[in-house]
Amino acid sequence: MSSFSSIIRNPKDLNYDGKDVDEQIVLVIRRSSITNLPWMLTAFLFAFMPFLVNPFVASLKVEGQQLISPTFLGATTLFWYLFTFGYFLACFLNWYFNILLISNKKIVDMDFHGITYKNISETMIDNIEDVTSNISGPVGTIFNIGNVYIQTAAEKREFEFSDVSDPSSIRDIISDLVANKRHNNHAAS
Amino acid sequence: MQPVNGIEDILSFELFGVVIKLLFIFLQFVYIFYAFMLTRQVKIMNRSFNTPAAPLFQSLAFFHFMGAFVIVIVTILFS
Repeated sequence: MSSFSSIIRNPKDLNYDGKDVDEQIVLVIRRSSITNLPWMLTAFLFAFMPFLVNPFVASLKVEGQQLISPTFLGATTLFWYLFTFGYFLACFLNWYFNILLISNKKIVDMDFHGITYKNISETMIDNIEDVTSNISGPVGTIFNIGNVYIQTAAEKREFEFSDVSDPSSIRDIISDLVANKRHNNHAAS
Repeated sequence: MQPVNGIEDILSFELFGVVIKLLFIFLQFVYIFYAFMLTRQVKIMNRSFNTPAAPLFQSLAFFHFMGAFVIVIVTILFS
């Protein structure tokens, strides 16, 4: 399913709030899939915790009676799995919707953090002055993951997108877009 | 009515169970609020960036919210 990739080129079925009629999305970038590994492992550990904790809790007795009744333990286990699912869902959505969207007219940076924070900034392609990419650290070098910085002449000076796959090719695509746009503007005037 | 003899009486076996159960139910109500906020956030996310998976995310968030309700009811009625 292409809409679940970390880099989507020329998507046909994706839209964003504020898209113009004559606008085409060229590239949608998310953080590299590898960055999902820590929260996936955490969710996996959460799913296993009742197998470790429940036998211990069930064995706790006071004067021959169980400290926690089996039905109550069942309810807490159900709640724990719901919490694990909620954690998984929130982390996945956080990855899925934190995107850098590049169209033939604009660059849109969408940031969602937790369940209460939303920040969307955009700038016209014409405003882009400089695009930089970097890769640092052993993990970045092994998996070709790095950051892309887009310097603009607009009020918001810099767009930063971290932990993206293949940052050099993203920098190249944005630079080509900017060059084409400037060439077209120059030819038109 | 019997006089309270000491800490052992206050922290009796039954009272301990009731306190734990009440704390757990309170936690579940807090979680219901979290699950509700998640459904609202998913709605905002889908509006900001619309993909073919939008109905799936909305459904998952809704079932998560309903699940939180069901577990509170199960806890109150059956445990």
